[in-house]
Amino acid sequence: MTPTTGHLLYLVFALGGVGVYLLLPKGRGSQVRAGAVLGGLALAALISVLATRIVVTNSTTAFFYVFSTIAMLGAVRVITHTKPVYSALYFVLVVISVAALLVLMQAEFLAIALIMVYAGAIMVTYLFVIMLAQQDTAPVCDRRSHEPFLAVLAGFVLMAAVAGRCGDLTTASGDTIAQASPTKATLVANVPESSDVGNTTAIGRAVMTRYIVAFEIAGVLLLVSMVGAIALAKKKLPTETVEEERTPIGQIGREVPPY
Amino acid sequence: MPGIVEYLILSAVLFALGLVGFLSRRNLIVMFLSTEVMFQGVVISAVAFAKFHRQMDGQAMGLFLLVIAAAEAGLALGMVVMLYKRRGTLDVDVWSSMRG
Amino acid sequence: MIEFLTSQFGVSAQFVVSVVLALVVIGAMQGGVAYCIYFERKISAWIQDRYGPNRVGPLGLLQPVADGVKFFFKEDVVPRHVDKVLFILAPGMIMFVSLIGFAAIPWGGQLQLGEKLVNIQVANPDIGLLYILGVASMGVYGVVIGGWASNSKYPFFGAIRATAQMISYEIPMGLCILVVVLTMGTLRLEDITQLQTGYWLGFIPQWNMFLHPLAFLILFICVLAEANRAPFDLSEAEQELVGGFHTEYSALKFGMFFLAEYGHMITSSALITVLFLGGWHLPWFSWTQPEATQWYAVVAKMGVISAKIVVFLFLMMWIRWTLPRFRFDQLMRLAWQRLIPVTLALFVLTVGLLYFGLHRSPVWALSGNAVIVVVMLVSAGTVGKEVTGRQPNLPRIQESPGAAALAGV
Repeated sequence: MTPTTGHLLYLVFALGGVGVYLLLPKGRGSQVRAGAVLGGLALAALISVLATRIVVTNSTTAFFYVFSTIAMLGAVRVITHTKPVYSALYFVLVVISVAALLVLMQAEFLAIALIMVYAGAIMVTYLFVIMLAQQDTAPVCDRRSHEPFLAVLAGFVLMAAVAGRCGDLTTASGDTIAQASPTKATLVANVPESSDVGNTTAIGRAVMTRYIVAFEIAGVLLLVSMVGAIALAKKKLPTETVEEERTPIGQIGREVPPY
Repeated sequence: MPGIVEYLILSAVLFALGLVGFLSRRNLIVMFLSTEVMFQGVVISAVAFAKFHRQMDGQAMGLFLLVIAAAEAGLALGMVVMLYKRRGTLDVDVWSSMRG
Repeated sequence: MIEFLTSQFGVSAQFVVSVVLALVVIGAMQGGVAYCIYFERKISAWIQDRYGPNRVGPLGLLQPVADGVKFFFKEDVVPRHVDKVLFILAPGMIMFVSLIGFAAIPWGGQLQLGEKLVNIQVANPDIGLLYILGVASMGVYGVVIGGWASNSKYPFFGAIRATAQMISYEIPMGLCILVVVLTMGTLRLEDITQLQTGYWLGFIPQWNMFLHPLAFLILFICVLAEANRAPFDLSEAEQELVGGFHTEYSALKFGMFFLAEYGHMITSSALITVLFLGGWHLPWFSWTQPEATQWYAVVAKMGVISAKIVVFLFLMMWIRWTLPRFRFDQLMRLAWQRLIPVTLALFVLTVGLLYFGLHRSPVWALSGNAVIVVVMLVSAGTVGKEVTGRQPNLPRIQESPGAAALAGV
């Protein structure tokens, strides 16, 4: 049996799994440095496995490598950093690089929507909550993790199963799926290239015609979650307050001798 | 040019990393951040399918994913604030007393 | 020159123009920001009947240079208790965000180069308006991270205030911009500008300002709040918070926060200009019409849009030195109880006009605006509670005998 890309990927993911396991916070005796080295090696290996398939010939490919590397590094730091603020900021990095990848796939509208919704709104709210809930010393829940070994095993087996199989797919490069599968030919014929109408127009048409019901339901979902969030976070004001004896405001300080 | 396979591998990596974080971290906020990383992976794969099948369905799905993520974040943060007010910590283990 | 580059390196003329424009705009922006500070000081001096800076150079015109040199050579203090990485990252972040917003602003229509028409714009993406909005929404990070990393209480309060304020005012701002997008039917800023170049009745320019004055006004208010300008500068209120989020910063890092604020003002003014004032369009002059594509027309258009931006900058400075600051609860109430309902009503109005195909009709849009204003005034007058913002469970203020006695005297 000759080694395929999939087999190479299994090796890479095993290496990455060990790296992430070492990087996860485990209180005293974390081997962060070794984990960083192993994780970096795995990332480099993954990139070079991909590079055997697609060679950098144009800027799109180069940008793909740059932003996917940033996205993966950022994701690792999100789950391994011991300070939640840093996790949140690394997640902003992931969002920005994912948005850049979406731009590479000609999904500009979704890319900018991702930045506005995630980086502009959701992550600011996360930061807000993290700041409000911060404690002076790093609490134990940030310095230790639950069953890091089992979690890494589960996660990386899943990763290897999905990505390794993907790596063995024969439709290697470019937009060949549409040509490779004859059932898709009709779809290709029906949908115009996105260049003749803008991406915004195209996504608007899709959402407003084919997915109009889903769109309405999404709106209702947002409304419901807004009501729910307000109900959850609403502070219960004390119904009865003890009326303190207060000095009338005009008299504060008036009892002091010179006056 | 990167093909659909490369994007799918990337999305699988992001999804699995988010899963690892969700399973192993004990801080409520970091757990939710990990689910958001998983969402990013899904968005990438949806848009990659849209591109390489030359249709808009994947991008429409990406838009709905954003809606779900926003709704989830709003509710989750509301709950996190409430839980934090009750116990004064973000550790999920504090809430394990219901375990049978 | 451009022919040489396109023939030798195979780059398009648009690419060359974009690169040159990016460099020019960033350079002009740095100088403009420095002179904004000078004019802020001069205007404050005029308003307060003082002289203002007048020692360095004629009329004090070299004052920005002296300030810059001072920022460079001051000791750059990084206090021991701060989170060092984020502390250093924050000013860079806020500066970066305030600079990249310029890329989508249409500075001067189109330029004829050989047979090709080139946009005088760094990039004209399909989503230009959304790009600017997305960049603007990233602006809060510099403030939040700076305040948090400083690890002391006043910067922290400033950061918390800035977050709440920016999130709140983004909503009416987005709705105002949506009104324009629905009316114009495009997100490209160049197209939005060109759609405003006609005339009503032969002499009123078709600027959106005359179509939706209420949205224009509210967008201006929101921009003040987003740029942390007075009367919304709660996050750096010096009487309450020392210096707000940048209390712990010194030297060049402080200077970057300072410059970023003015950069933000310039970007927002440019955005309002493009959305509501027709961008580079000046009515009745043939050079500033979309058909004029000669180089002198481009220069004229750049002059027009810059003049409009300067008017807005002056307005912002005037407001800062005239109006007192809001209290925080008033700020929040203004956004959530006043601006958001009004802009929602405007949005519904625009959707309705769009449904009947009347969205470009000034009579209908203006009467709709008038109805909203009347309803707003009536509701504020009748339903209105006390606007003092005192908590309801506090005892009432009693007229004190001492004060009465004083008044009697």
